[in-house]
Amino acid sequence: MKLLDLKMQNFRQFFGEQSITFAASGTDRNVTVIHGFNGAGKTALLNAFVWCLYGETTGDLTPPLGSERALAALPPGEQVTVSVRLTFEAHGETYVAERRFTAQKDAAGSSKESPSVLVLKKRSLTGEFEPLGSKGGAQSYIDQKLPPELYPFFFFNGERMEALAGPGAYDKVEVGVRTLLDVEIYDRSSRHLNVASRELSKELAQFATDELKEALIEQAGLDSTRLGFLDSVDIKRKNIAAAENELEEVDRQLSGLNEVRELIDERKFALAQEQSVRQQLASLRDDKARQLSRNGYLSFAKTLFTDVDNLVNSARQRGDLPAKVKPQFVDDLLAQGVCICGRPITDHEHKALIGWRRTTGLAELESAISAVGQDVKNLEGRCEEYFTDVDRLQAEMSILEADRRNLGDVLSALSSKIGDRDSSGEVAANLENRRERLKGTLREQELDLALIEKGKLPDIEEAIRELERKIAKMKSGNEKGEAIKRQIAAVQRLAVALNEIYEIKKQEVRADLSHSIAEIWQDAAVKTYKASIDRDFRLTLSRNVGGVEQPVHGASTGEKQVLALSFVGSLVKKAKANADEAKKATEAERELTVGGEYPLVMDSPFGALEPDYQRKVAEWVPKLAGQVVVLASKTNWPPNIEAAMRSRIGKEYILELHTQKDNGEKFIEIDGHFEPYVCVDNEPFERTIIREVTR
Amino acid sequence: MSKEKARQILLDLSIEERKLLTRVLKIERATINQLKPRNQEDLMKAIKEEIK
Repeated sequence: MKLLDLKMQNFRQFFGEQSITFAASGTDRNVTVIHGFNGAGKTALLNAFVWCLYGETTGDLTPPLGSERALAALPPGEQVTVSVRLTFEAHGETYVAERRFTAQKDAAGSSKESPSVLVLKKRSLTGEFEPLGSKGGAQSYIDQKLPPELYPFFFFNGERMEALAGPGAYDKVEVGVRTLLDVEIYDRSSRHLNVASRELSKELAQFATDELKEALIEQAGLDSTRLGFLDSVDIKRKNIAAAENELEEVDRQLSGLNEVRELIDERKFALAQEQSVRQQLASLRDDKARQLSRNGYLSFAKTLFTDVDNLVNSARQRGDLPAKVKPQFVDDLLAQGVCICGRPITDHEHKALIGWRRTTGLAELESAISAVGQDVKNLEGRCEEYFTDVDRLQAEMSILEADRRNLGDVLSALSSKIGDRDSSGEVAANLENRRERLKGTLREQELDLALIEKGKLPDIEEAIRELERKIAKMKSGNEKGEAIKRQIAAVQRLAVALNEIYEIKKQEVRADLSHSIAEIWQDAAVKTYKASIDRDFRLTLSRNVGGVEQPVHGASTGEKQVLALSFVGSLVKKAKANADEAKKATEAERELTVGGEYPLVMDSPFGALEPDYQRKVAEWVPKLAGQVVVLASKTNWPPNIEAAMRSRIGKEYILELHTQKDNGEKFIEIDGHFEPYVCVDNEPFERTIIREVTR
Repeated sequence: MSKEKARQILLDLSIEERKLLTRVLKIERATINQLKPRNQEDLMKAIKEEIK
């Protein structure tokens, strides 16, 4: 989607008809900047996009959407149109989306709004715009071009962005990933195939033997239990996310209490240490598991080495195996009749040599025995190394386990101190008690979830598969029944295949996004942290401490904001890559792909950034997407940002606020020129005029 | 690598199963795009026609 222009009619502060043309996508000057004083309509403008495309507003804007000025001027019985019209390009076609409603004033002076209507038109070959879609069809076209689940990532309030990097936001991040995967088509196909499978099973029962009927009833029971487990998983995941959110809020409130500040800092330090110890322990456990799977068998082979050696030696002594002498050497001694010391060979020695010659004829066997001997020696060496390594790992783990126990005691003591009403006060004690309860809930829910996900669910799924195999082998006794059985088997295979493809693609998209976040972050970040999305879809920052990646605790709001922007940038990149790939894909694969080119529209993206980040982010934001729209107040547009973005600006506007409040006219300096920003006039209602900055 | 794995899963299905999968996806895509209301009958018909 490339934004071309936006026209608003009587929408919020924008009285009459006003418009903005956007900087062209994919050029060196792809940025449109819109300056506005507080209350001039930056949030309203951001919402104009959202309302036009989806008929809703972000949490920052509450209705009514009509212009106060337009409604006030309306005579009773008359009506006024409120509309937003967005012209955009998608996949090489030009579209116009227009959402509108009318507001009518009754005799008593109150106004009534009609429901809003969306009309979507596409430019035809003749250049005319022709309507698209039947009733509801226009919205579905828009939803296809930019799925509604994704718009919060592309039209957003920059000051709230850091919430995406919070611990409770992984579901939002996952929604972004799932939407890019077009999870709906997998979910729906899989769900409906399962429904079909149950319908076919019922049909099969009509043609089945008693044994088969019994198995089908058992299968239906297992299936219903499985669905119950899946529901529990959903509920527990939601409970965990809610508890994590609440825990973060409690921690935030505790951090703000002076009475316990030192204790909270101590706790943060101890928690970071505990986290580090846990990671080191996990890494050692992995090392130990690798050692066990690679060399564990050697523990059982130790006696075997001695046995092999003893057997070979005794066989040599008995003469069952060849002596360690080469045949040619014995032949030479016999032919020359002289020992290697120069002395003549005696008769006794001659007889012994002839005896040896009989057993030295098997050169290949000798060489094989020698090779086995060497292998056994090598294995003995590896066995020693294995035991030494495992002992070392075990010793390191014991030390870390002791550290973990000590840190657990420290944390528990700190919690008691923070929760002590006498020394910490009522508020801190209550918060700490709540924190402990939440941690208990989290532990309980996580344990329950693990029990279902790692135990009950796989067990019942295995039981269902086993039963399906049994049913497949049972004869129905007639051709009709056999055909239904083939259909059930095919439907089940398709459902399994879809689930497998979905899991593969989900991890692929996550890995791609994670890789791209790391790159984007690298480009903008001041500190040497590493950004990624972990397997649970959490945006994380980590740093390398002594070769071990450790999570960063207490990242600043600015850092979280940059991290969230990196995620948005990676979504834009992946969506475009998907669209490019879909052009080359087969028909079936195209059905499983979502993508496109998306713009970024950001309200105050630099607000919470520290000065160190501001300039870097300003240089980097234009590269995040093909087209970028920035809405900024004067405080959000300091000289360092102006300097960094100036060369990338293709279009620039001022939301000129006209007000009766006599606080003095205000000006804004843009590219070295002072422009009117707030104007004082005698109009009874505040209104905003969009004025293009031209040179 | 993962793309190859996903493609291999599709290739491991029989020709009839792959045809059925394409029809299933088309039925679901048409519903998602609101081109056609969804009907389980369409899916059952596709199964009966593709898997004899």
